[in-house]
Amino acid sequence: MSVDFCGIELAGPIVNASGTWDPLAARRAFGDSAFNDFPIHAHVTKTITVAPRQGNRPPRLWEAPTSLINSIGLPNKGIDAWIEQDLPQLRELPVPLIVNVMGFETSELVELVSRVSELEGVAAIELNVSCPNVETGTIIGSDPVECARTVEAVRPLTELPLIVKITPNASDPAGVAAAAESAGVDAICLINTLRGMAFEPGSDKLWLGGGTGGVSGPAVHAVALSQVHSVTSTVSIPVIGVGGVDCGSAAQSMLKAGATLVGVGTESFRDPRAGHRIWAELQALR
Amino acid sequence: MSVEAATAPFNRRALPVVGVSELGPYRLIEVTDLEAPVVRAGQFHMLSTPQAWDSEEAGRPWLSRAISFLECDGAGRLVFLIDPIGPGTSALARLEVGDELYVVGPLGNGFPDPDPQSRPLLIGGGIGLAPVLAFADQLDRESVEYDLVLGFRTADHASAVRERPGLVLATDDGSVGHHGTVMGPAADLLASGQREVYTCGPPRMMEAVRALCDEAQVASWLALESPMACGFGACFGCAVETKDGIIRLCVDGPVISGSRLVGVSATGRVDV
Ligand SMILES: Cc1cc2nc3c(=O)[nH]c(=O)nc-3n(C[C@H](O)[C@H](O)[C@H](O)COP(=O)(O)O)c2cc1C
Ligand code: FES
Repeated sequence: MSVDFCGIELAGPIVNASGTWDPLAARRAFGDSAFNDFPIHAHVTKTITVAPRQGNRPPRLWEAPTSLINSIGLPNKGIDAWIEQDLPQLRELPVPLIVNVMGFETSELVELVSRVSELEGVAAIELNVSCPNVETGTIIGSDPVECARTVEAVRPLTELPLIVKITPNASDPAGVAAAAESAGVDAICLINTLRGMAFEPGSDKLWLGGGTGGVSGPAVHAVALSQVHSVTSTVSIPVIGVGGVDCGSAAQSMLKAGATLVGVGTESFRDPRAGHRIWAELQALR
Repeated sequence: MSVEAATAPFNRRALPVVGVSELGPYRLIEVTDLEAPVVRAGQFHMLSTPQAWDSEEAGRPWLSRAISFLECDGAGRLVFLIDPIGPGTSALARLEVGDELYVVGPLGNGFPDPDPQSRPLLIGGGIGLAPVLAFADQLDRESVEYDLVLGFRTADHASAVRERPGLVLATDDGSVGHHGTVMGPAADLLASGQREVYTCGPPRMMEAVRALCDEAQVASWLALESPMACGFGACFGCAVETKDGIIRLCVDGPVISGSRLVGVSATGRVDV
């Protein structure tokens, strides 16, 4: 049942979606079993940036039908503190570690990729390109040319597998994926959240502290499936299919759409063992 | 013996509902949880139900709701008090005996042990009475003496609490107990000796309590609320602003020292 992903051996195809599982917080809440009985086959970190970030002001969450709109704003302690405080503990995880990074300009991404590449215990690097480039103002991941330029800048800096996580808020995700493939990435991950928003009940004010947010959960699964399918039909590198996977049959659909790995995100908020459960359900279907 | 904050079993488990009753406008739900029988007052559980949450019809409620327990006997009896204010709490309030309740927890830190030098003053408002009464029960078991002030909108809401020695009641409409908010009786008690304050209630009440304690230089412990998607540190959604930055309330709280806060924000509506 083991899965080969860019030369990394995984005990199965289930990973977490970035930003939806914190093994260190889970160990505080659930004790050591949250580590030893790890619910997924590879761990993807929450996005790490060069400088520490507080994230957006609350409120950060809005529940919509079978979905969540979040405006978390990428809070993280920054690469220095992450290497010093978190990485030593994450090395104890029983599964491969994939580090997700994001830069607001190319020089930041260059710094992140070259530093992470040197670290012991990192299996792969995932680039979150769903942010605006401060130099050009466009969302890197929504523009094939800009995405390719970004990948070309970091590709020579690491021998680790490079994954690009692309955004569904692009007119042509498959075009972005194809450009990233030509620029030399090893895998594509999609989808990130779809842009959404909500009003405060009984008011004309926006609810979320960040104004707009990102929609995730089963409500986006059909969109994710079609985008994953269109990307896997276009590129020949492996794809991590993410978006609204809440059960074995949704995971199976991702595999049918051509994904090599399946990312579980929001469902882990409802059930901390969602990864285990979805894997068991998937095996029962096979 | 003081109760340690318990770590949760690593699961979401379905517990049979063994008792339900009306308590004023609130609903009591009793389950038996033999996997995590010991819970510290102020800790919380993430609750949902297989029936309402997995029915695809309305699509909501969809995320679990964070609820602090009202009673826990240390032997598995766990009682929640539900104020049906939104889709999640309303679905919980519709539970009947024999239905199943999904539970993740206990989560969070809980109220800290009182300083032996001071007499605890417990202040609860509305549905915030649950963790406050749970803490009162915990202090009773530890033979620690305390004062207790509970405030409600009306006598109907106040009917949710039974008589207890030393209990001071306040109602906004004066229909039972002191006429007005908890702040009058609370201020009098605060002035009557060495104190430490434990509170849970509506944001405006907790902010008034925090400000009062801050001015009187009395330690205060606030069980705060924030919308939570997970309850165990995974989503970063339960952000609360403190003097030293934004924290995740579910893992760094929900009980926070008043001295860490600039104020209690009113954005904590949790079941809209
Ligand atoms: C609360 C929350 C935080 C997230 N944080 C990140 C993040 O830091 N980096 C990232 O690349 N994606 C992040 N995502 C997006 C997820 O990784 C995933 O792409 C998306 O939620 C869709 O999957 P799902 O429907 O299974 O949740 C986040 C999603 C949620 C709901
Ligand atoms: S509720 Fe998810 S991190 Fe606190």
